[in-house]
Order: sequence, then C-alpha cells, then structure tokens
Amino acid sequence: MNAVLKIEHLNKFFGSRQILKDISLEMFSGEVYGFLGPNGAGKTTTIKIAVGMLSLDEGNINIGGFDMHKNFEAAMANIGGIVENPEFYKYLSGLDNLRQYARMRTGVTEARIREVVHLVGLDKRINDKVGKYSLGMRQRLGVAQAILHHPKVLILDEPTNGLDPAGIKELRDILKNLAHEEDVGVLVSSHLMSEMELMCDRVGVIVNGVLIDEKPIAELISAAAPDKFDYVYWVSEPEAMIEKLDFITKENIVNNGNGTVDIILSKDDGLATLSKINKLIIDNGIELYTVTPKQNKKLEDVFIELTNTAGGGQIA
Amino acid sequence: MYLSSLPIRLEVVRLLKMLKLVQNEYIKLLKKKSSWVILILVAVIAIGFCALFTWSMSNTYYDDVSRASLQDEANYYLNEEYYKQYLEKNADGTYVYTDENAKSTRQQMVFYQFIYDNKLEYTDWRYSADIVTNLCYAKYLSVDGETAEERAEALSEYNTLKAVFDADDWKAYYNEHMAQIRDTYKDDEISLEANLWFYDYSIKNNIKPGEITWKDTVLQTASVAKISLIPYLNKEAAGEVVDSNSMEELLNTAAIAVYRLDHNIEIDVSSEMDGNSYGFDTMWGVFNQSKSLVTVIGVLIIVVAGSIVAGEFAQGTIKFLLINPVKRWKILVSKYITAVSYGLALMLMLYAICGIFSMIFTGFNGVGAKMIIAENGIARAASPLFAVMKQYLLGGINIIVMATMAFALSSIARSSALAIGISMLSLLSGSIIITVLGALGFDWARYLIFANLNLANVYNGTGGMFPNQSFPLAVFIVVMHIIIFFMIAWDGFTRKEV
Repeated sequence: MNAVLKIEHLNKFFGSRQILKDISLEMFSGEVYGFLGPNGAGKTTTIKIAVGMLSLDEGNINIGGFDMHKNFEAAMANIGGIVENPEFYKYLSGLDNLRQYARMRTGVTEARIREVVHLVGLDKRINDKVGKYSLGMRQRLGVAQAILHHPKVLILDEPTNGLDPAGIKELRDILKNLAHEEDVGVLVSSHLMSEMELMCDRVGVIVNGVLIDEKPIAELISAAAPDKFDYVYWVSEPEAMIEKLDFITKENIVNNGNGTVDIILSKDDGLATLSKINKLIIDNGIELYTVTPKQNKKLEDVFIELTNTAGGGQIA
Repeated sequence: MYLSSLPIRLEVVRLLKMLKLVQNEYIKLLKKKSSWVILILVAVIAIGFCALFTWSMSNTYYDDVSRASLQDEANYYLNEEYYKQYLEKNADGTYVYTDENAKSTRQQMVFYQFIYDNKLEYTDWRYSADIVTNLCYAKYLSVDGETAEERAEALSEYNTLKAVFDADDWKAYYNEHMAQIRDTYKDDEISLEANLWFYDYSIKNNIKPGEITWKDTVLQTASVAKISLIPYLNKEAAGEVVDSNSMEELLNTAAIAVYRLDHNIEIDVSSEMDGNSYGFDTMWGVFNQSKSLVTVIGVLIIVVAGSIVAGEFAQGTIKFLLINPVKRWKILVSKYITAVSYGLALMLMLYAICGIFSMIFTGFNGVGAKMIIAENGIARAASPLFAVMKQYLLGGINIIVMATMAFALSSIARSSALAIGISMLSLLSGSIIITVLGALGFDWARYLIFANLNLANVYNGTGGMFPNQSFPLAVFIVVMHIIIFFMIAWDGFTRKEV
C-alpha cells in the first residue's frame, strides 16, 4: 500500500497558541480514514492545511507523491474535498458551478461532469440555480465538485451535515465505493462516532491538537467490547427470581423495581450461565417475558474515554 | 524538433489555463442579474446624456441664416426718422451739423446711400475688401471737406477708387495693395512678408473675397496671426528672448489656418474638441463632452473590483475556489484582469453608444469631419475619433487607479463595503483635497496621487491647482500607485488564512 496523503510533524500556531502539535499521519489509497475529535480539537485546521487554505508553521505535507510546498499545483491536482459548509454561487445553476471547477482542473470533460452528477443523484435538479437547493443538495454538489477530477485523495469535513438518513446512507455508499473500488484515499472528519463506525476502515483520534490514537476500526471496536455484560430480565416475580439465583453473587444482581432485574455477567461466564439462569426461572414457575442484553459500551464511550484521558472533552 | 517546441507548448498551456480562470470570473460577473441592470443603466445614461447635451447646447453659437442682408441694413439706416435726432435739415435740403456726432452720422448716410444705390450685399468682395468704406469716406470729404484742397483731393481719391469699384477686378485691387505694402515695408523683410501674405495667397489660390465665407474667415485668421508674429520674429532675429509659448500658439494658429486653406477643409472640429467652447455645430462637440461619463464607469468598476475578491468571502465560496490546483496569485491576477478589462469594455461600450447617438441626435452633422491640430507650428489633420478615444483613455487611468485601490482593500479586508466606500470617497473627494492643499500653498501636494489622477487635464495643460504638472511625472506617479496597490492586494491575498 502506498500513502497518498502523508502529514509529517505538523505544527501550527495561532499567535502564541499552538493549535496543532506534531501531527503525523498517513492515509493509503483504497481506505476510508476517519478523523475523529471533539469540536475545536484541530480537525478542520489540519484539513485546511492539507488543502492549502492555511499555511503550516512546521512540517511537511505530501499528496499523491508531490510536496505541497514545492509543487503546490501538482499536489493539489491530486486532492478534492469539502471544507466546512458547501457554499456555491447561488445565482449559477449546479451545472454551471461544476463547470467553474472543471475549468480550473485538468482533464474534466462534460461527460465526466454528467457522470459525477449522476453519481451523487442530482440529475433532475442540476440545471436549477443553487440558491434553490436544500443543504443536503448542496452537500451532494460539494461531493460532485470534490470528485470531479478523479483525485487520489478525497477530504471531507463533516460531510453528513444536513443530510437526511437516506442521504447519509447514500453518501456512505458512494465514499466506500470510491475507496474500495476506485482506490481513492478518503479522509472523513466527524465528531459523530456512530457514523464513523459504519463508514471508516481506520480512524485517527485528535484531541487538543494532538493525534492520540490511530488504529483500524475493528481494533477500536474490540477495544470497546466490555468485559462485563448486562442482561435485563423482565419477569412476573422479580423477588422470587433473585432469591433462587444463588450461584450469582448479590452485587451482580440489581432489582430495578419495575418488574425488571439486571444481571451482570463477566466475559468468562458465557452462554452456559445464561441458559442456566433461564432454566432456573422456568423451573420455578416464574414467567419470563423478555431478556435483553444492555449494550453499555460502544465506540461513543471509547471515544469519550479516550478524549477524557487525554484531557480533552469539549472545548468551548 | 519536438523538444524545442516543448517550452513554447508549456507557455501556451499556461496561458490557456489563465484564460480559463478569466473566463470563470467573467461568467460569475455576467450571470448576475445586477450586472445586466448596470449595463443597461450605462446605456440609458449615455443615450440620455447625448440627447440632453445636443438639445441644450446646439444653435447657441452663431446663427448664419437669420442674418439680414446689407440692403435691409441700408434701408433701415436711411430712414429719415432715424436721422432726425442727429441732423437738422435746411430749407435747401442740406444738413446742419450740430456736433461731431452729426458728422459721423452724415458719413454713415453717405455710406448707406452708396450701398443702396449699388445694390451691394455682404458677399460682394468690394464690400468685404473695404473699397466701399474708403470710397464713401472720400465721397463724404469731397462734399463736406473743410477746405477746397481737401475736397479736391478727396474727389480724385474717390474717382480712383470708383474706377476700381466699377472694374470689379479684385486681383487688380489686391495687386495694387501689394505694391503699396512693398513700398511701405521695403526695408523690413519680416513685416513685408507677413503683410503681403493675405493678398499673395488669395491671388495665387484664386480665392475671391466674399465668395466662400469660411475661406475669408480662415484667411483673416491666418493673416492676423502672421502679422501678430512680427514682433516675435523681430525679437528672435535680434537674438532676444521671446515668450516661446505665445509665439508657438500664434505659429500654430497660422499653420492650422493655412493647412485648412491648402487642403480645402471647411469644418475643423478642433475648437469643439478642446473642451472650452460653449457650443458646437457637429456631432463631435457632443461626442467629446461624453468623456465626462467615464466617471460613471469608474463608479461601476470600483464596485466590481471591490467585490470581486471580497464577494468570494461573503458568499463562502472562497474555500471552493482555493481548493483547486491553481496558485493563489493566478486567481488574484485573473480577477484583476477581469475587473480592469471589464472596465475597458464598459468604456468601449460607452464610447460606441455615445458615438452613435451623438451622430444621430445632431443629424449626422460633420460625420466625416477632421480636426486640424498643430505642434511646433506644423499642422496636420487628425481623426476626431481617436482624439475622443484618447480623452476617454486619459480619463480611464483615474478609474484604474481607484479600481486597483478597491481591489487591494477588498483582498486584505475581505469587506467589499469598506473597499468600495473608501475608493468611491477617494474618487469623488480627491480633487477637493488637492484644491484645499493647493490653496494653502503646499507645493508638495503636486506629487500626491490626486493631483495627477486627472491625466486628461495634465495632458491638456488645463485646470487643477497645479496647472504646470509634468505629464511624464504624472504618469510615473499613477503607475507607481497602481503597482503598489496591486502588490498590497497580492500580499494580502496570497498569504491570507482562509
């Protein structure tokens, strides 16, 4: 695998305040890289530097094999993206907006524009003025603009903003397809973990300008897998049930008082213990309505945990 | 072969890329509805100006048609009632002179009686060549002279002149004049030549006086200029210092008049074009005055230049502009090219509209006319079309400076309102500042940009607090400001953190 986006030892100051501290990351072609972090952590700043909107104070950025500083235009020819809100010329049609960008890039034909418009599902509205577009449609137009010139690197800053659930799923499919089928390296920033979980192959977590963790999503999820499982039992006689459960320590049994009982099992207990409990309830003539596992720890929690340990959390 | 053409091909590719950026800017500019409203407004203002100016200024100059004939004039003055207030009539029909006024009134009567008897008109060469005046004076003296000798002498003079009058031979008359002049100035080469010229030229070119009015006028102008030059030429011959400015002016006046006669050019529109005349006969006076509308274009260009960069920030589109594989300075330069070329295009449009409509409103008067200009005493015919264009362009420099200023401000401050406001204020108040500074006697103010912005005035040497500004210096100051403003824009835009 070759790195299509390489950020090395990036430092950035706003006045005397250091916004980014020695950020290094590599993104490879064919992967969706999630850039996670709370608001104000430095996600957008990093992205803006990577697309040449902000200058960097120290470090190197290499895009598709070209150094950003030494060969700006060649480096930028390999990148496409949306930074912050998708704003276009409102008095131009969607198509005319795309033609603007086509003229500034090389090798974008009229056929390619049509292809991209079709890909983002804007065929019917592309001749309307952008002023009449919804936020979701502008977001789609933003994606169309970003992939117009077959970039090797696609950078999207919070791309699901303003999209409805169907739109989010569509975008997810488009991005995954670009990465996995067309070998594009896609970098997506977000503070919504659930989204990242569904979209990304690998994530980097940035807090307070420091990249604190970088690993494949599977690893992150397994790290999120808890060592204890919580099952909620809804039964006819909770007290009787608790009385009979003598093989489970009392600390791991919680009577919720509304007809449900929480039973906390350790990782090692396994399915055998569950079936043992169920059998005991039935055998004692207690009616068992439902048993549901309570997912008490998800990527969300891992993320909050990570950011908290790094002293981050929400920055005003 | 392939290798040698490679660098050229690269340059062509670069140029095409740049043109595409400019194309983008033009599309953004022209797809806005407001741009078209402005264009239509400019056209309406231009047409309205031409119409109003034609209507308010035409026919105020002089009116040839309504002039009464010489016969009518004579009739009027020969009226008995008119003379009663000056003369008393004796019983035998002779007049009593009460005072000096009565004498001149009597002379007038003789003069008009002669005109009446001979059915003379203004166009008669004998009238315009002053034979009639001299002849009538002799006739008056021959009757009313105080002494017998005086009366006899006057009578003989009258007979001589009457012979010339009756012969109706203007060339003979002129030749006689020339003989007299040769006699008078036989020791003064310079005066001789100047005084002879009128008669000499008329005879050689067969210009009969009174036949073609404009030729008479121009001949007169040339002759007066040549005679006025005599003291200058004398001084110069004696090695003394002369006022070269007024001398050149006279030389030029003479040269222009001679050029018109030589080339048979009836209409010279240069007097309509100098901006100081109050009226006009042809389309060129209107067309030339339309140069003042260039300021309107200036206001529009300041708006365009002041919002072409700041507008991207205001619309939020700057990020999508800068994410493209194009260096920032290229985007900036393409925007600048767009603003300036759009201004020039608007100016060209104004020029065309005003040209066409001044032609229509003045009834196609003087369409093919030339303007005769002279430098260092050498005259040549110039196209007034180019002369008007030159005035437009000289006025346009002012606008480019202010547009560049608006451009610079808008790219460092991101605020089009600020950029447009300050530039507009400068455009409109610059001359006031200079007037105040000039009035306070600060000579250094002549080096300020505002004192040099009106290049048309500097070039024509007219107006302003500092009338003797040097044109090259003014151009230098203006160009320096354009460069400095552009560098500010460049620095602000290429380093800006978006």
